[in-house]
Amino acid sequence: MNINDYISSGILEQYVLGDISSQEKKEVECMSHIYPEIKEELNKVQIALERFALDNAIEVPSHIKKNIFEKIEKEIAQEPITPAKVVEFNPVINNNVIASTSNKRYLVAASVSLIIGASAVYFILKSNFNEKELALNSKVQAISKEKENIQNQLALLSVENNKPFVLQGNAKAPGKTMIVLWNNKTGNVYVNNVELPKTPSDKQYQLWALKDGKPIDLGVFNTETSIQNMKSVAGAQAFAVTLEVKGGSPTPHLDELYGLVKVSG
Amino acid sequence: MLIADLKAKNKTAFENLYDKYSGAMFNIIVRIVNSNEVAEDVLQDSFLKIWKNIDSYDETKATIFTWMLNICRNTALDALRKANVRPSIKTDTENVYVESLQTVQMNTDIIGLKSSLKHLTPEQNLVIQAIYFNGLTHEEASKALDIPLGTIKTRIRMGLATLKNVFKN
Repeated sequence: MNINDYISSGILEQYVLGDISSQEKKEVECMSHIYPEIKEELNKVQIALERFALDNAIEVPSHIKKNIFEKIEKEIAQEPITPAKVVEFNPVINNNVIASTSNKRYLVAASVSLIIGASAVYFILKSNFNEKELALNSKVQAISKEKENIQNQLALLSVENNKPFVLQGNAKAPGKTMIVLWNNKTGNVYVNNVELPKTPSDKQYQLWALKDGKPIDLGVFNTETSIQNMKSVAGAQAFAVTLEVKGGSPTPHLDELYGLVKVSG
Repeated sequence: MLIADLKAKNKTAFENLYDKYSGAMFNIIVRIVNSNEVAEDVLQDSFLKIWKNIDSYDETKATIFTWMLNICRNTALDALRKANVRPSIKTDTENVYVESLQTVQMNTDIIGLKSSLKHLTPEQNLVIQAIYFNGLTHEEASKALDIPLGTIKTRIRMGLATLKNVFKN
């Protein structure tokens, strides 16, 4: 998550101006709790508006203050001074000792279960709250990772001669794609947005360049959306993906081919 | 000003609070309700609410000013609703907004531009006043002034950025 984007979205101003939904309000409070920069900015906006308001103050008729403070005085005076309750001490002398012990036992049991009940409620509430905060945090992290990835992609695409090729999965991975980004001048190769099926833990996908009918190993990669840097290659005519043992094979197992894309232009 | 004193319902602390902020709040309320008489009642109600509810003020969430501003604004908007001055956003309400916005301009003309307002462009000034003083939402201001919502937001941000710089010194 880019904090500056959040700050410049104008939501903090809306928060201070009170023009905000209760959902957004909670979000701002949560964000300013997590990020000190946002808290500081929020503070600045509040101070600026406060100064602005104070600068534009107008005179209040003096009877208003009198009215208000009269009412407050009244309220203070009316606030009943509750006299300390005198609790009469009436010791119950119970001759029936057995009954008394069982009463005590009952009381002890009752208070124990009350304490257990109360702490259970406390822990449930607390863990519920923590879970929500954790969930929100991980969401924020996921979004910020995704954004970083998109920015990286854009950066790579804007490099001269970097050209993306969409590799379509074959019958082993129908409808799935991945992007191979290749620079025919520098030879740099990247894979990105790998949507191929998840591999078993002992296998990995391997990328090959095909040149004059011969496969050239470009390294292994994982199924994830972020950009992965592969080995460089010059003069590639096509790119292919096979499923190989973890760490890669010296030559491709073509029966494990997952897709192929020809270099055009 | 010590929040702890306010929370302990110390009358002197509350008096200091009133002396410092009542004028600013009164201005905001007057502009929302557009009547000095109603505004006086609203100001009274607001400060009594502030006194009664000071316990619920959370320092970690907002400054005391922002908290009070919200109470004053809501009390003022409630008063408007009760008096049926501003019906819900429908057909002929635009006139109401435009009228109240013209009053804003007039008011500033009469009292003369206050020092901090001079730093704002007229466009920023109008938008900030519409929302800040007249209690319009961003959407309402966008309709009333016939300016796209995005532009409204930009002007508020630019205006507040200017104010932040003005007050830095």
